[in-house]
Amino acid sequence: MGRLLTGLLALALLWMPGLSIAADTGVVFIDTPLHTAPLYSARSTATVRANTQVEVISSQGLWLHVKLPPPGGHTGWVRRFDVRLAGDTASRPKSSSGLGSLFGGLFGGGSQRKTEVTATIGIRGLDTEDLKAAKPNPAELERMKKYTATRAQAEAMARRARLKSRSMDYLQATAANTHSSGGTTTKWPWQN
Amino acid sequence: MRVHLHLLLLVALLPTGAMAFDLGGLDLNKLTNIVSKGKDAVTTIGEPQEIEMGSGIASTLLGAAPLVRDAALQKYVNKVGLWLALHTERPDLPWHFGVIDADTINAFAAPGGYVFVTKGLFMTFRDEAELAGVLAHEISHVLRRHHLQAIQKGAQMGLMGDIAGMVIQQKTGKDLDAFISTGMQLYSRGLDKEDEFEADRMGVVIAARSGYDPNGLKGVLLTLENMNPTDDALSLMFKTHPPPKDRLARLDSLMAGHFDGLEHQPQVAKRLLSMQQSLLHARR
Repeated sequence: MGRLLTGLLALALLWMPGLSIAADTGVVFIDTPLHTAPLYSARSTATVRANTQVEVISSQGLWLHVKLPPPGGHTGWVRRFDVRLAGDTASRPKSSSGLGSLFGGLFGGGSQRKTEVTATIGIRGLDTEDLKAAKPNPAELERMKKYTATRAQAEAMARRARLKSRSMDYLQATAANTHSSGGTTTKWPWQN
Repeated sequence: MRVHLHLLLLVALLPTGAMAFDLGGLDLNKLTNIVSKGKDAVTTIGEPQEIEMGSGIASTLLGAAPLVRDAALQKYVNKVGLWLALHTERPDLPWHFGVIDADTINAFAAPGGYVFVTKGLFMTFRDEAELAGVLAHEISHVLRRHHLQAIQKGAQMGLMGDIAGMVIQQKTGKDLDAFISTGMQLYSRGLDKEDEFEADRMGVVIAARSGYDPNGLKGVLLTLENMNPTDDALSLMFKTHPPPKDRLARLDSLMAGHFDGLEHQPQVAKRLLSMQQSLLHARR
């Protein structure tokens, strides 16, 4: 029964990368803001000082949900790459090895394996290998075309934000740059 | 039409100097002469061909990472993107914008009007002016046909094998494959650094014309500068672009004196932040 449950939990985690993950610890190695949500735009409530040990509650995308030590015990979100996670032996912090240790606690195995696990389920990446292996996906291209905006929709969106068109020439490159930016004084299409 | 396209593709990839090749009975000297009449081989690729190549490349990019399943988000970036594109010299291209499901931080353009931003990058934006800055940078790559030029340059520097392959594949109707795979390599290798600087200085102007605070792109570059460059989420982007610090320095010196007062143009935070919130709460 217990084994079944563990298996199901592991399976669930595999299917839900970035959702809640069992607790782990890490050390913040640089002063970093504690955000209220995993967003740069989210308010920051405190600064976590370098060398603070934190409890990692979960991860989402490039962020870790962490709990600070007592007496404060605040929770919040910090950038993943500002934290060196327990078991991370790399001299330079790297996201994959960091999250690897997070999953390593669950799956066991050597550090090499941890990294591999993370590479597939830690963050949904898009790297050189993904690009090299990519095959055309015409169905997805058709889906993309369905979201195409009309000129009227774009203009309505701009009006709602009080965006006003203005004419302006492209900046000319400095003498150091050989390319021209095609600066021009032609009438732009929106100038009737 | 199909044969016409083959010829155009072939001609565009050839060095402009006349050479004697015997590939499948085609008179390449004749073809290169056609090119030399044009001032630039890229201009001989017509817009329909550019769009067809771009569609193939975009389809393959989507094969690497699909769109985020959020119709409101996709519609939103298409409206912002088209609004920007309307303020350029190519407003009538079939512009398509998309947020792709990858946590890494990057953005891509493909010929003919395709622009992609990763979810990871989208989540770093603090307002719509930052999104606009990135989209306008990518739009500029399309406007200036940077990818087509890079593919052509690659061909001139010794990818003749690919071209020979294209001639053979003509018979099987798979001529675009070689072009697309060469194009895809660009996303790993990166464009010319000068092309990136050019897209930056055009992007800030397009954002300003469209009524946004033109400093959005600089805001994104500052965010990137403050990130750990060894982070895996950034490795491809940092490998294929000049350092954010250099891009900021160039923009600062070029923009000085040209954008006075425009920093008061709207940044439009609210609706971008609400898109981010709904992404955060989305459960796949």
